[in-house]
Amino acid sequence: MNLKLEMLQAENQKLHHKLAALHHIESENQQLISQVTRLVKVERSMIEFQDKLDVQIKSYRQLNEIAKRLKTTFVPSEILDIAVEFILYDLNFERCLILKRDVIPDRLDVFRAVLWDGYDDEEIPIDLTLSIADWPCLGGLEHRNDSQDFLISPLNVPIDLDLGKTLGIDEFILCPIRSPHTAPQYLIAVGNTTHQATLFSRVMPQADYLVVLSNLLAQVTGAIAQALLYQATHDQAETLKMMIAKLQSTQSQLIQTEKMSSLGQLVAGIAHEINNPVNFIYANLAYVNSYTSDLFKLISAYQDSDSALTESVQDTLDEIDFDFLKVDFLKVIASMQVGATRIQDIVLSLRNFSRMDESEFKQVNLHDGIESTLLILQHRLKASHDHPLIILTKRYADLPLIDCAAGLLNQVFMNLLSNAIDAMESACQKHIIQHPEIQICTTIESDGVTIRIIDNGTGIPEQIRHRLFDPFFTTKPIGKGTGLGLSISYQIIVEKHQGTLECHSAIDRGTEFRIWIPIKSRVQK
Amino acid sequence: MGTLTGVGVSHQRNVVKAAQEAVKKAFLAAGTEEPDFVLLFASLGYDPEKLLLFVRQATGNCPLVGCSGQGVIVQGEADESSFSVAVMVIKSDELRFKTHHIYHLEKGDKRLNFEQVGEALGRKIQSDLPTNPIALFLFTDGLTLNFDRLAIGLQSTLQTQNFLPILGGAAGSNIDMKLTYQFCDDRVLTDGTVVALMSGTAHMAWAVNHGCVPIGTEYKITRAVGTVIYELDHRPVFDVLRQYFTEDEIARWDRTMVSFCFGFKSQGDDEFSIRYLSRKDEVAGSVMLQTEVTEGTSVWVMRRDQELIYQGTEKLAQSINTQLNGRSPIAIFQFDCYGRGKSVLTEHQKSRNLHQLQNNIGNHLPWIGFYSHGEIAPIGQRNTLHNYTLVLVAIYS
Repeated sequence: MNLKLEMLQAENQKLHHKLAALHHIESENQQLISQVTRLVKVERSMIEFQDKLDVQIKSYRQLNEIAKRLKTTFVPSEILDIAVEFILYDLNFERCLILKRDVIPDRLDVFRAVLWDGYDDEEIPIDLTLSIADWPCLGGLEHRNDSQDFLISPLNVPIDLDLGKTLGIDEFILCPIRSPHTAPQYLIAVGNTTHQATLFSRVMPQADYLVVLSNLLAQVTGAIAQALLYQATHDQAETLKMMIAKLQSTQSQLIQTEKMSSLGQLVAGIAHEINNPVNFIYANLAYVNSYTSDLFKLISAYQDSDSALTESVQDTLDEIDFDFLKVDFLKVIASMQVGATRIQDIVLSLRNFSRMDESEFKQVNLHDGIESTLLILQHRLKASHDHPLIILTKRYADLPLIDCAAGLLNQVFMNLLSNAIDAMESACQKHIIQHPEIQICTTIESDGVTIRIIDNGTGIPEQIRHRLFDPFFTTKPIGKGTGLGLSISYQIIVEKHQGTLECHSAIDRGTEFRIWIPIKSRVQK
Repeated sequence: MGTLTGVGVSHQRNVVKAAQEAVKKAFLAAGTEEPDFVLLFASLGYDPEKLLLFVRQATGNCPLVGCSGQGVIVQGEADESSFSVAVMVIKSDELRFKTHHIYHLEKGDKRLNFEQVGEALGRKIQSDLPTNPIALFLFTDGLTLNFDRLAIGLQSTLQTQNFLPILGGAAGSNIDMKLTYQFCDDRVLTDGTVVALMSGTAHMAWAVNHGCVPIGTEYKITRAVGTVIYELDHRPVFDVLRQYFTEDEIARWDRTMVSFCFGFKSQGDDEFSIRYLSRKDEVAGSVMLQTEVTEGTSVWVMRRDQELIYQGTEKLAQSINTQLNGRSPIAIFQFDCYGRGKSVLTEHQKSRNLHQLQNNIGNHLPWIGFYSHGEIAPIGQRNTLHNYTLVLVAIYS
């Protein structure tokens, strides 16, 4: 009995030991599990921390890339395009809207939508304007200068609901772009619509991306400030350049106009001086003719009278070959009449040409101007040691009187015809052409007239054609051309007459200058 | 001709542009614009109806299947953004694809049990069964899925001469876990299953790997109903879980389950089947899985291990390469758990794993996949749903 009890006690003790060992193992197992789960959690925390770090590094890399891209442009709209792209695709928002401050005197609070992305076609905020003053929630955004002046409005913030509707963005961040101590130039609204929000970065006050967004805006602000500065400097330089060019052009034109004016006055003076004696000659030629006729009649009467002529008279008649003289003298007078008429025509042309300094608009016959110019250039058309006779072909339409500044147009004809003659002289000297020809054609086209001056000279190379009308551009040897003729012609036709002046040319085939001017002047008088 | 295969991907936010760009790239890569079959995977940012419409407009009326994913996977890229679409086009004289679909709800929105779903689907496939089936690719709504029942139903009505492997995954859902999308020809399903039966003379290799390791001891399931577990070792399941997790961690269930899961091992199996504990019910004292559990089954609490995942990916690549034995695949399909994506592994580690996998198998191959809510692949001769698992399939001539 005792033995049995002892054995039972020993068994019981063994069991106790085993149970204690089992409890010990269970306890160790439990500790192990706890350690492992703790380690797993620590590992998880490390992974999450690492992930956060990775995201931050990625963000800084992206910002670095953005900074490089922003440096490539000085155009504000391109800078904003880059910012919008970054906000939508790197920060992962659904919509982005940029509003620019309206230029309204004494108002700094009105902004107008200028750029957006992520909106549906039917929701595009094309006419959106926003006055900060109308939205108390914006709390004087236009006057604040702290860097973190974002309005962050998660979904369903009652005070911002209407503003969200106006922007077309239900949860949004609104932030200004401004240089230090200035009113905002732009507002950027970023965010999502309610039904799409879960697909994008959510708008939250403490979100990590706010630091990135803040950095981005700082970069964009700097880039825009630089762009505006560059733009202002560039504009000033351009204005200066244009002013210098205009000054040079005006100066040259003044000289040219003065020259032409002097020439006009000279021609007018000569014409006037010649005109009086010519009129005197022309008018008296009729009397000369009449008196001569009478005198011949008288001599004939003497000859026919019964009384014989004295020997000396007869000798004189024979000596002067009176019969020939009688016939020839009438021819001489007729020839003098032709000459006097020709001088009268020349005087008329000179007077016509001398209207060069007239810049007021009058109704004139364009053909008269062309003819006057041709008359002036007549000597250059004739055959010379430089070229054979330049054939002149005229195809004139029946033009109405044209409302134009006749003197200025004559200057154009003079420039174009002189150039054509120059081109053909050159072509003949180079033996490119044997039969130089100038064609002058006029036609009526719609409500204007076209004058085409065509030569069969060497043509103008394409690479310089676009520079033809630039002031001081010339292909002529130094001293031969000022480079102003075509530039002035262009101004006269395009600016003064609201017309067009075009050049069409083919190498070794010739050049055509085509003038079009309206019949009725479009220039406000 | 053999087989022409091409993959295209797009991240455009505009659904029309995205569909057109992905198809255009796929055509360009395949060298054909007249595919026999199209696979389509897309993340949840797109309107699925419009996406399918524009993909179909571009690809024509050939059989198409696919589904939504938490992200898409292609060569050199695993994108988990809300806007990514991947398209694979196949033109082949050695492969044929027949598509079928089934809704999980019948008229009046009455939910069918998954055995009924499987049976009905099996009948559809059986009615037009080719002589040389290779595999069944299956994409399903995973939110209410009981895959074991579905597989039982399917196998009861679909009779094939040889074991027919089922491969695929459960579609990705939107963030509030309410909707998933399955694509079949011109249809978008939201609570259904779509399949493509691949037949022909080509061959298939596949491998499965997870990268989880057990912590603690084995437990027996002592009370369970369907997919719900109530007791382990005769103790309420939450009593056991409290050995592993604090109250706060149990309260933050989704976050905690990123790192932990259950592992099941039947007798004779070398490998654990991993189960995600998709839901908990503290009032009822239960946790829910996506597959049925039977009382008496052994279960381990498992932890997910980054290094094991990496090593497992390498092992998986070796297994595929061994099966391929030097032959070049026509196409690669990757069905990968979204729990193996950036949210768990981080973007950096995830990319490292993908590059390692693609470099080991072939970084020029037509490769398409998606991040799923459950991965389907056989273990031995049993078609199984997995969680936290990578399933890789290689098709070769």
